[in-house]
Amino acid sequence: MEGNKHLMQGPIPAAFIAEQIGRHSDKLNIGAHAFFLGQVRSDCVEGKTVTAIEYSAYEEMILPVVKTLKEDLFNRFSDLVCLHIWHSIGVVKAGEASLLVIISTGHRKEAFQALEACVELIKEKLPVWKKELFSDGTARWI
Amino acid sequence: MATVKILYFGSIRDITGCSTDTVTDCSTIGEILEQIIKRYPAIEGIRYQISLNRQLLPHPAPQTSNLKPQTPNPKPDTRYPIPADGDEIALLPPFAGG
Repeated sequence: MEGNKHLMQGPIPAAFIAEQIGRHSDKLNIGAHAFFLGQVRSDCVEGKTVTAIEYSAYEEMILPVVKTLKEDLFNRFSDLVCLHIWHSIGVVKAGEASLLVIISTGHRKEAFQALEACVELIKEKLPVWKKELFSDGTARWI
Repeated sequence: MATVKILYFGSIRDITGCSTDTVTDCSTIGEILEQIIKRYPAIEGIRYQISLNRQLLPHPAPQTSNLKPQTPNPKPDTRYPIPADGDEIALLPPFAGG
């Protein structure tokens, strides 16, 4: 993750989220923030409980993919001021956050629209993989 | 004939037992894939996309998240670029971020 500003080892702390939102106070053309926080869900699969997810990524490919994704969104949403993406890698326990997207726009309507579009693009394009870890010590790739 | 670096990710890493590999004496992407599958035949049971130097190569069918192959994996394709020494090729199972 050295040098990769979009990846974070382990869960995304709540304090980090607050800190990132606070860093926008000098951008006075922003009227709305919308943020998405993905949280690890403790699914039950064939009688086994998910205790954590282990994420891995093609780290060197993340930057070019995010750059293209940003270009796409800035072209589609003229009211977009800035957007930020952080994804966990490594083990994130159930109940902890693994993906943070912050979208900042002039007005609320495009904030919601751009946020949904951004999360969908992340799901489709970001070279990240996850393995569910179960309470009995077994695991499976999703 | 080129020597290229191969990267494995996700469930493919469980098959190969390693994250990086090298393929020598190859002149097309197709030959590279054939060499890899000869080493690790179980890879054929997993769907994947290929990237060359961190750029996805075009694939005839869209990928969705599932380990079971429902669409064919990339086959030797004459449209693919010719690999050069030092190129980085990655086998990427369906993405599952978030």
